[in-house]
Amino acid sequence: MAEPRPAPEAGTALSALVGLAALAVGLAFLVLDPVGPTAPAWERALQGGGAALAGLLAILGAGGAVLARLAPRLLEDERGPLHAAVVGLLLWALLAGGLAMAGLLHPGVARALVAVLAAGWLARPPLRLPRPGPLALVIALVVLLPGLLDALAPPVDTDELYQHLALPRQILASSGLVGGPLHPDGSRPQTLHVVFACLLALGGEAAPRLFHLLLTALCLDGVRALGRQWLGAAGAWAPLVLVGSYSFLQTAGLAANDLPTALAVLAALDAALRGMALPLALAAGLALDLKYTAAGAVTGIFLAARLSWRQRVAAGLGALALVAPWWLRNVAEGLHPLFPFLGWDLRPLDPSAPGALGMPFQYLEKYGAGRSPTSFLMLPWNAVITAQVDGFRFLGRVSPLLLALVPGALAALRRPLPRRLALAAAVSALAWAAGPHWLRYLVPALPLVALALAAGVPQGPGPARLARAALALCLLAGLPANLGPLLLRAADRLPAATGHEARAAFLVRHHPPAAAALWANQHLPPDAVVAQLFDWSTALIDRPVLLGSVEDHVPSRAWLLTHGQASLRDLQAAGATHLVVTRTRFLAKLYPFLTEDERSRELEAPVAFLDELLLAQATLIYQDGQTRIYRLEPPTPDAAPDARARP
Amino acid sequence: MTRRLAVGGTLLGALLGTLLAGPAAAASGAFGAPGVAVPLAGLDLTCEDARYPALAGPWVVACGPDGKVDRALSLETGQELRLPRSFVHPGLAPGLLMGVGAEAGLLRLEPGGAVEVPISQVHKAGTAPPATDGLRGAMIEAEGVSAWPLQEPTRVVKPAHPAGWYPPALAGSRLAWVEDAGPDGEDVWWLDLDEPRAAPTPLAGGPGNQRHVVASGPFLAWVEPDAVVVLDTRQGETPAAERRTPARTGFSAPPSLWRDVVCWEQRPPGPVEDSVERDAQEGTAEGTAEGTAEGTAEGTAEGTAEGTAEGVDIMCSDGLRAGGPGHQRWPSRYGPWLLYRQGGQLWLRTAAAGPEDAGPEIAAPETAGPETAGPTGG
Repeated sequence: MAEPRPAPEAGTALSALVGLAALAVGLAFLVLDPVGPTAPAWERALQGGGAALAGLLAILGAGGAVLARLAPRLLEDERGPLHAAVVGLLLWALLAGGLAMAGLLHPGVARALVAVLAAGWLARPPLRLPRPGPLALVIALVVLLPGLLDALAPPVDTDELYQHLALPRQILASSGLVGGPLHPDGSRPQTLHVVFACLLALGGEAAPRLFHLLLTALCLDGVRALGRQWLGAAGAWAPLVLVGSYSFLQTAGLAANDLPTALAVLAALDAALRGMALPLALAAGLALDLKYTAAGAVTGIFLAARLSWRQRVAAGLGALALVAPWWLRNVAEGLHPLFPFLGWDLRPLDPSAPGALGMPFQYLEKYGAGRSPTSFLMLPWNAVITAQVDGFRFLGRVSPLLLALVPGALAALRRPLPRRLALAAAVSALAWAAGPHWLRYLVPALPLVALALAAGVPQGPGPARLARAALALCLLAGLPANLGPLLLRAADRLPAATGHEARAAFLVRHHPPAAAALWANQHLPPDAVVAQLFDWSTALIDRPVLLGSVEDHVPSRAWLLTHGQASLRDLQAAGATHLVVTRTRFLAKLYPFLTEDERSRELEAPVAFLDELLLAQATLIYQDGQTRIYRLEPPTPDAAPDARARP
Repeated sequence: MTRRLAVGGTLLGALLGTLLAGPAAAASGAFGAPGVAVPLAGLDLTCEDARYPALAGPWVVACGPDGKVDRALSLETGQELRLPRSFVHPGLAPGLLMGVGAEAGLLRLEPGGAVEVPISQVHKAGTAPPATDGLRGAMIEAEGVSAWPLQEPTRVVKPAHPAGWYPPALAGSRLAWVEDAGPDGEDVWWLDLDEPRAAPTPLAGGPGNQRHVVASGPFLAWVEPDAVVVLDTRQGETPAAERRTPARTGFSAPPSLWRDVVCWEQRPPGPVEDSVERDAQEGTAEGTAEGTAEGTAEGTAEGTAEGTAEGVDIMCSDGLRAGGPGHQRWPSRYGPWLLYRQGGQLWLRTAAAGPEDAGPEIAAPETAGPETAGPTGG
């Protein structure tokens, strides 16, 4: 049989025609789909996407310009975008953070910052943009599609409502930072939140979330690039570990801080392995700024770095110098440097207040599968095999490859590079094990762990090929449990993301207290100030907000236990005119590590006390389900009638 | 000694009332004994909407495990009904439950069971429970108020800016609701449904907030700063039509109106710190038995218009009260019966007069008398 003749090479005109036709038909299919996104949904996507893309280009341009001067070697290969993005993000955070500390981060200034950073492209940094292969691109698009739908749907994630969208909104509204006992989460380093504030100003609610999605894609590409550079073909397994893990992809399309931290940790790792102290200091400093839980990974990277001890100390001090301004800010405001994680003043401020003996910011025992010696020994097995996405048993899931790759990784320890990676990964894992056993807290170190494990994948033909096939089957075995929940969530988000489910209906369906927030936006006076007690709908309330709390509700409990009967009066003195209160029950089965007396005194008593205070001192003006809105009446009973007429 | 006798007498009365009311009620008679408060066991399930359980005439409507209103108890016969379907936010009238939106429809409670009444259903959801008087339905919407005859498919929508959450009130042809008056706070507005071209007008406004409007027959009642107001709509907008009773209320549950008798939650007077600390420490469960006698003595001394210093009490304009240590909350009144909640339980207090008595036209709160006394005259 004759060999088929190869098709003639296409000319430029034909290629252009085919390409344009494909784009035009694809665009028409999207835009003209009878059940496709509505016009407002398109507007939201384009505005947010445009802002996110502008932000990404800005940090690449700014970071590339800086690195072209300070460390041009980092831009020479496909790892360049990773380093440029990290340095650019740090620069953005420093500028915006400085302006916010001075109370100058107005929305106009926030928007202009993006343009200032993008001016870095004028220096023509020699950046090589990512060039993933077709297969990698398809995999990334598939696994990141749920994140895209998350980003375009209204926000219902607890941490977004309470912190990662709430704080940027408050920063924009006040042009400055918030913090202290009335805004405890504002006393954390606000590195990412000032960046999110700029994106909010530029592109609305979807912008920070789409920007986060782009950073996730950059992180995946960074892992791919580092894997190829340092581990060769074996390095391709590292990104597979990540795309097969629910906990890594869970927040891809949300405004969150774990994945940006992972990006910074990855850049720090590469700088450490290349023996470059300054980029290491910058990346490590950013990682700590973004999330303190990066400390374990950063420590491991420093131990594994190809640097002298003197260089490591200098880099370490440099990293800490980037975090120090946030500590100094807290100290200047009379707070513990690490507030709100530490340093709650629980002494009674009113004679009626009982105070509290201690108030851990998080109960370590609440998460995972126990903290006995046996539990710690079984931790790797339990965390991978028995974790639950929706329960406090690790609150997530990861790929079974994390266990399956261990034997190969151990065998690879005879080589120096895998030894370094393993050291950094082991320190990261130990640090995670010492803290709350929440898989999301492992995410900043997960790319590092994935690279360390991928170092042991057998290469070559024959038995190695069979081993790789077995690893592929293991990856596939983990996909239903890891990707299934994401696909279910994507299907749920699709109508809202495309404008076919009303925003209010979606919000209330997923976050019932949202009904109260929506009512408050419509009916509370424009100058109302809302104090949230045992409620966390902060990002949904279009008024200045005080307090707010989630899960163990430390801020609300601390306020009640220290202010006693003056709790509501003191909130009023702080400016609150209304209260949003969500009925909270601290179930005994979730706190088996507390005695009944402890649970009653520390958890339940403040809730009961608040109910009594509300009956005595506040006026109920709205209730939906478990959430109530109260009006705080003026405190002086003999005030003039007009004074009492406050709405 | 006197106190112990009072406690014992009250307990004995309550026990006798329960014993007499329970089985006897299940067999044939009215529920609850005159002058006595009894707990209603088996109806303590928490409702998704805090307005329920409540009285729909001589029926207690209450919730199932899912928090939806799905059962009713007759106070006249003791019969308990399971409703053919459930509601989250039904509008109530004597013997009637009406829903709109996803729970559109009307149930009539009869001794033989709950009957679905064919009516013109409104499938649009409101922003508060609807109201019905058996002839008309009314509801609050985001940008207005609407009303319709139950047997006709026409629905009149009038532009307004309701505050949401507060149900409307139907008193004859008058529809009243709480309006979001912006800087002026909350006001009560109304309109005459018999006048097709009538526009909504303010009924009660001015400084402070006028809210929680409720209706019974031709009467309307609402809460103003430091007062509860009852209006007889038959007398037009004249001073004689309106009766204002000093009250510290409106901080939680709305008042309850039966004809021109209004019951409300009364906040204790005096330093709120003392009452908060006392209530938080003592709790209501253990204070009920002893506190009744103490509350009686203190209530007598301080006067029913003031309530006691022990917690939130319920006052009625015809003299019926529910008080004592702890909080008595969420009044629902019909005839001689006052339904309320205390310590997580449903209680029913029965007045001495029968349901056929209209009660005094203009009743001033009694200033003396024992805790359990009801109105002494027709």
